[in-house]
Amino acid sequence: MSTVKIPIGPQHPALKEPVNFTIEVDGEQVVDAKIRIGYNHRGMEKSAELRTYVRDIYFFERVCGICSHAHTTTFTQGVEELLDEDVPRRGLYIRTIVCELERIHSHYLWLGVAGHEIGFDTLLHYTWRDREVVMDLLEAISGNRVNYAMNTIGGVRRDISKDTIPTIKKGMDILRKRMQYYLKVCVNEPTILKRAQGVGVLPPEVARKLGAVGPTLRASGINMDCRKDDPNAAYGEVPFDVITWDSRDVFGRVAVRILETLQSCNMIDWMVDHLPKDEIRLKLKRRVPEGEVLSRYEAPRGELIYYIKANGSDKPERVKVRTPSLANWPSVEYMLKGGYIADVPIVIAAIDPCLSCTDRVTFVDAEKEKTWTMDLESLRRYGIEFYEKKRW
Amino acid sequence: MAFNLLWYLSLYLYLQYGYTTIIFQYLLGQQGSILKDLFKIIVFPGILFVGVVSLFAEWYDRKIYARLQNRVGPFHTGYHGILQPLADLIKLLAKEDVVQSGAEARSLAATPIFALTLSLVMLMFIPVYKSTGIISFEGDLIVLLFLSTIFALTVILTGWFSTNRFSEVGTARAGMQLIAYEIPFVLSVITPAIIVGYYYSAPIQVNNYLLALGVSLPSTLVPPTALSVLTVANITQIQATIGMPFIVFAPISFAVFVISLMAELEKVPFDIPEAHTEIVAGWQTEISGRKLGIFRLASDLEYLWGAGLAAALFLGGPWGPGSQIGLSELERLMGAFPWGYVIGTGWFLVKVFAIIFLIANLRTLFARFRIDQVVRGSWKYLIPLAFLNIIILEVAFYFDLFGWQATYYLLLWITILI
Repeated sequence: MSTVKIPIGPQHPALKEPVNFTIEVDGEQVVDAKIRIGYNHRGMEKSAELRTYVRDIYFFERVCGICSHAHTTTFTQGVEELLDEDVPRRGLYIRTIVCELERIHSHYLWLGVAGHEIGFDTLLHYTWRDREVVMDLLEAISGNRVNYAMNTIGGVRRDISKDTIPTIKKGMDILRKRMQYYLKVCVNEPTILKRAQGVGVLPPEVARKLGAVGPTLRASGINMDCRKDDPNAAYGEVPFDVITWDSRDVFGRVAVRILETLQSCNMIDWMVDHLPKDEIRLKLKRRVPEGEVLSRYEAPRGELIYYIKANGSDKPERVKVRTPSLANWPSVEYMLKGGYIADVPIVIAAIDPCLSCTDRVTFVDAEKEKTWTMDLESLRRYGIEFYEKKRW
Repeated sequence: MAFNLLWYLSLYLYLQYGYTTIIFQYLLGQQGSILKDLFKIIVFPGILFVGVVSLFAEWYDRKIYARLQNRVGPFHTGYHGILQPLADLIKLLAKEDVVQSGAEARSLAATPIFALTLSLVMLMFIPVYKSTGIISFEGDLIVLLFLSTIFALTVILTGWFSTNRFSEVGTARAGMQLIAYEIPFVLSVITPAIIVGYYYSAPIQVNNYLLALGVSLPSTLVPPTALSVLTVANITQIQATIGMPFIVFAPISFAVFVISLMAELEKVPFDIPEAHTEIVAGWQTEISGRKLGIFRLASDLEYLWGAGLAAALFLGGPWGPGSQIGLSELERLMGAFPWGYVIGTGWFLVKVFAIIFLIANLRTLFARFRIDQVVRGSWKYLIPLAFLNIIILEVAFYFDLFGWQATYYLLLWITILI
């Protein structure tokens, strides 16, 4: 029997974001998979060069809807390093608290999406209901549900008042209890186990080779977490464990995310109890001295890297964003091969892909080892010619 | 293959023959006037009634499903959204009918109508207010199973005629799923017939046993033929006569029936042929507008059919609990007293909605299986389980001199404990 190529995306009901997978199937078995990204290039890195550092915070908050705080944290701590200033500890603590709340919200959201991808809509509706608790907490702290606008260069913009602390602790209790319940569900529910165990296997050596990051990497049994390896913000002082899992499959990724959420709840409890009493922010200069910095942070999806080059003015000369989803695409291609069509959505979802921060336009010719970029007009012409040739 | 075709052909002729006798009976006035029978087919237990009940069942199912998932469900159209399925249907019927290039347009237009007709015909076999449905003849259970297989065939053909890559994958999955659920479904449906067969060939002791309970087999039921056992009407009547629904004797078969029914209806753990996160909408990817509306109505009707069949075969159909005072007596009473029909319909609806409630609960509980897991699970667990119930029953019947029910319950409990 000959193979059939099935296109998944850029428009597909399971995939809400513009990415294309061309999956070659033989019956139900996936023989080959190819990923095409770049449907939604937004030109953010270039635009960042035209804005001042302060306006860039606003700008990078909007790179991604879910890990918005992670992006600003990475950016601001890079700029702070360039300025060579120490941020007040209370500011760092509040920054870290929001980071962890964001992680909880992201993992709750992911658990629901994973349930939906394997047809378990009940899990989706339950987790998204419970996610409202953490959304309300974020709103209570920052005034916003999605783009919190908490970070600024030199600290955070809002303080956590004494009245909010009991609310946070109560919310943590609820979230911890619910997540423990979902842990019980995911470990005991036979249909989830059937769909998650042994699916999308990524051996540790392959994961290392393909540069996987975040929970995907930790589920392959590799202990790598920026929060521990290269502590930023308040992570050096907060006690927590890096969660790893040896099963290397989708189930491992579920387990890692659930256990990480439980860790985050404990961390927030600890930080709220040990909140330092100094300032929340430091007024810093607008002009950043010449230099370059690589800022790392463990976003909910994995290691997020910002490279910032400053030229002494109030605008960055170059900002390069390496998002975790981008780092995980090669391992997705590896994991899809040899599986079933039915496993494609959950394997893709298991890296928690986020297309809004991923898309790039750089053309790479692997054979000639050449890379180049195109301007909008030539890209348009290329697209027209491409589709005329294809006759779609 | 040739044998199968011959078999189907003979069944088809039998169905035709059945129809013709019924039509002759109408014309000769043996079953009342033509007007009354037209009323039966079009209004009361027929098209209008099942249409309304199936739309209500869809609302009920969606509402329960939503409430179990902490959602509100349909809410705005009518009282708590009770008119939502009807509104959906009307909206879809009014929409543009798109046929993409490359599809077999005419065949694609025919399949929804075929599916709707089939599901309506299937529902006419279901006893709603008395022990016979609108259509009832000896051996109609086989015809019912046959029709349900053809219904699955329309699904496969729809995907095939769409010539879409997603539909083709969905079609292949629908075919695979048919292989998985068909045999356990038939086996579980056969189990009540086996119990009926036992009562028909009951030795004198059991008859005495029944007499001691004050129950006598109606004389109309006594002459046993092979086909009369496989008749929905006889199965419901026997349940009413002994005053016990067959779910008591065949709980395992009932479970197998519900599971394979869910697979046939493509409900959640088995919604593989239309898994929308994987293959868009599977076999119905290219179905839109009017066709989609008709298909949805047809699948609602099939849902009602499945629940109705379960009610008739395992829960006693339109009869209430408890031993009836001799069936012919009751039928006579019901004929004389219209409230009897209302009570019968009431019991039927209660049982049907109990089964829909059960299925709505089950489909909140699970994640979707993979197609290979379904086929493997079906052949590994479902079919042996269905056989197990039959074997237990047969063994129990063998020892019937000592009271087969005692033996039966002993065996059943031993099995459950194991």
